[in-house]
Amino acid sequence: MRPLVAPTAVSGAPPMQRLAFFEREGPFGYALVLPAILYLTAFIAYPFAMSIWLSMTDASAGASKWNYIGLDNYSKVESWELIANDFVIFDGDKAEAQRIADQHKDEGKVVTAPDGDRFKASLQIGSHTIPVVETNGEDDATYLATTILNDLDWQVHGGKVVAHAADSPISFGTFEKRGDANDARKKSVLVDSTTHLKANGTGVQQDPNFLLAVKNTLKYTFGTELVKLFFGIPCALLLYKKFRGRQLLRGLLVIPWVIPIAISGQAWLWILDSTYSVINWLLVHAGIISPANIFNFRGDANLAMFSLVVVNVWRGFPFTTIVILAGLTSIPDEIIERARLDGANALQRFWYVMAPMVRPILMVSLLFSVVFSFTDFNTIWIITRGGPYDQTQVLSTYAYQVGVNAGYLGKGAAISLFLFPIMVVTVFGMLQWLRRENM
Amino acid sequence: MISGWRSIRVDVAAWAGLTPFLVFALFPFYWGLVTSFKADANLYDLSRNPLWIAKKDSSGQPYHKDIIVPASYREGKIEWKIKIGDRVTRSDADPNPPAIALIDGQEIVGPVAGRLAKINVPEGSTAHPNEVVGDIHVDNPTLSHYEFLSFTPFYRWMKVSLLTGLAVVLITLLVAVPGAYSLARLRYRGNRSIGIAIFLTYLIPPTILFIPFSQLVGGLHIDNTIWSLILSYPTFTIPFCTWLLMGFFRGVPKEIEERALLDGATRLQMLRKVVIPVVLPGILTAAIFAFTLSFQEYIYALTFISSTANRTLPVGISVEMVRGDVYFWGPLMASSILGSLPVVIVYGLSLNYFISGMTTGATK
Repeated sequence: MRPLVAPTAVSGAPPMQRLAFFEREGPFGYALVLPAILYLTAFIAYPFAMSIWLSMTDASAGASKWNYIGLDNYSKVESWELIANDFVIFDGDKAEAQRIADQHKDEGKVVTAPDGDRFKASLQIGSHTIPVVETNGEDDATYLATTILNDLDWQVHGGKVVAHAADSPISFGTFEKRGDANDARKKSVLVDSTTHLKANGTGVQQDPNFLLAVKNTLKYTFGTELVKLFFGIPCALLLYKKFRGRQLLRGLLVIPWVIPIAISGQAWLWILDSTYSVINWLLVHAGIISPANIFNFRGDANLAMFSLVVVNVWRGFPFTTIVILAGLTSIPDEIIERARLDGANALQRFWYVMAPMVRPILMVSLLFSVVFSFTDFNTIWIITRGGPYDQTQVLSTYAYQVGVNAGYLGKGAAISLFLFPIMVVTVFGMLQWLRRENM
Repeated sequence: MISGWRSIRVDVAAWAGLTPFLVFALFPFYWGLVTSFKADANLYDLSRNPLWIAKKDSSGQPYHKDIIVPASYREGKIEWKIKIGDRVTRSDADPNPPAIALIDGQEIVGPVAGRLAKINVPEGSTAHPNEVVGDIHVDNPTLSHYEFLSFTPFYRWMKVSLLTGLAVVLITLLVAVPGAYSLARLRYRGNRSIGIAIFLTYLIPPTILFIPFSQLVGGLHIDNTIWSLILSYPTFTIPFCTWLLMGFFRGVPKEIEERALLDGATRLQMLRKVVIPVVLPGILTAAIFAFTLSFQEYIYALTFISSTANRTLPVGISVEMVRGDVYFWGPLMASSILGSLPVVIVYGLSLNYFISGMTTGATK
């Protein structure tokens, strides 16, 4: 190699003490990495801190002043409601239980009587008198007992008769303090029942859509990962062998991962169209479904979630394939050859030789895939926009809905910040596992 | 001979095994491609096989539309306003359809979707109110959905996306190459912690940052401009590319660096003239990824940019090609196919770099 500058120190060790400042390893190193640190501090650390601050204000789009409101965006309970679903009316003889359940509407009646300064309502069915509620007002007691008697679905489980509120639970009143609600639980509901306290309020934790978004995020993430492996492992094994056209097929398989989902998602929208869906066309023409019963993929909550999972698997399994393939290719040929000579068949070679060696990289692909699904916004936004009726909202799309569309910046920031702790736990958990595995 | 048969058997088995997965992976693209060439009349015809382009409708006629004289019109001579080959309108849902014929000075307006192939009316004949005077045939397959794109900001969005991508690649390389070299090769206090800190920025993805970031770009008065994207995209490309490049720098033999230093090169010269040429494949991989990641980005572009003209391609297509509940499937698929081309080209040219990047990014 031609010397770039005429050599100065021809013999002996380089004179360290005479090196210019930036010729020393430390200062040079810091200088080179400084732009990255500054950039990421200014545009990740600072907005992240701002996000935490925003989530503690009532900031909204267009408001000139933001007020500090503490943790109210996260959780603010304004009242507690005592509600109950199932009431055990009778527990005893099987035949008697069946008779009570069959006859309760014709035979049963509500009797309300004063009990001290309160009123106690009981159900009288045949020879049974079952006290059910006790309230301050006579009408309240009668009303609640009548509802239990007439409006609920009375079911028999063994010797038990259970009055079940299917759609909307029965409310025993709203209270300002949790203690009051708990007192009422002890005093008002006399019959054995499943009661719980529902918090009403303005914090995101009191928002039923938020809870749904958390559930959907978990469903969307963990519902897809195993399927991705289920698709990725056979693909990787098939691509591992040398065959003609291997490069081409590998290249084609990765295309879903390369094209922006906002663009390829348009084709999925068209595949999932309510009238012209090609899936429906194929099913109708194969005689599997009738034209009257075609699937409305994006109009039904369960089908919409299922569609999202399919699209996520479609987009993610090529990545899983490629990462596993890299793991397989890194296994030395001799090891597999030796196993073959030792008489291991293909399945045994896979299970006892290749699988254990690929496991760490499998976990890495899983880690990336989990993080990717967990923070995904694009797929959901493109395919369902959180619909129908917010039923497929995940944390990221709900944060967008609340923070940008509705303009409640503070609350939106609070929603998206919920992603952070779950991410930290997942990632550190998996990294810990990997570290143990590598030792 | 036997080994030849054996290798063919291996080929066939691999292709057969992979076919279902390939069909699943590629079907949406095939479906988009076929759709983008279909005239609307064919597109919305459930009686024909949707997987292919039908030449004729279910009655055996080419796809056509009757021209009906409105009831309020006077009787009169038909004159033509449009010529065969004219692009008429993009879809049956066009709110302002163009005039297609003239009867005694009164215009009959479309809509006929697609490019005209044939007009079946004796010229100069007399038209009566409420009567069918003839029909119009449209091309099928047709390029009209692709032609329509020049009437939308499609190419403008493409420009925004490409420019952003290139600027982001530049910024990313300027920051990530020296950063990665420093973290991978130089020893100083905090070196390891800085590397880990950069990796941990993965934990704060755009879906957490988009709300405060929108306030930040608003404060800098760059919201609604391409600068908001050029500034924000490196937040995810720099960490990714730094980690990617650290792997490549570690692979450079230490001796060539020492040799250059002994030869009297400054550290910067050594980096520029000795080390960087060696890791050029790595830098290319990083550039490809920075470009692809920024081309794919969605939530920042959706949040920061609100004017139609400055949108990126993915946002433009998904937001502006839909009016309310009406999806213009033909133009939508045409724009999706054309819009995928930049990444497909980059990907096709650099398949091996790309796939090695996917795995080093995940494993290093």
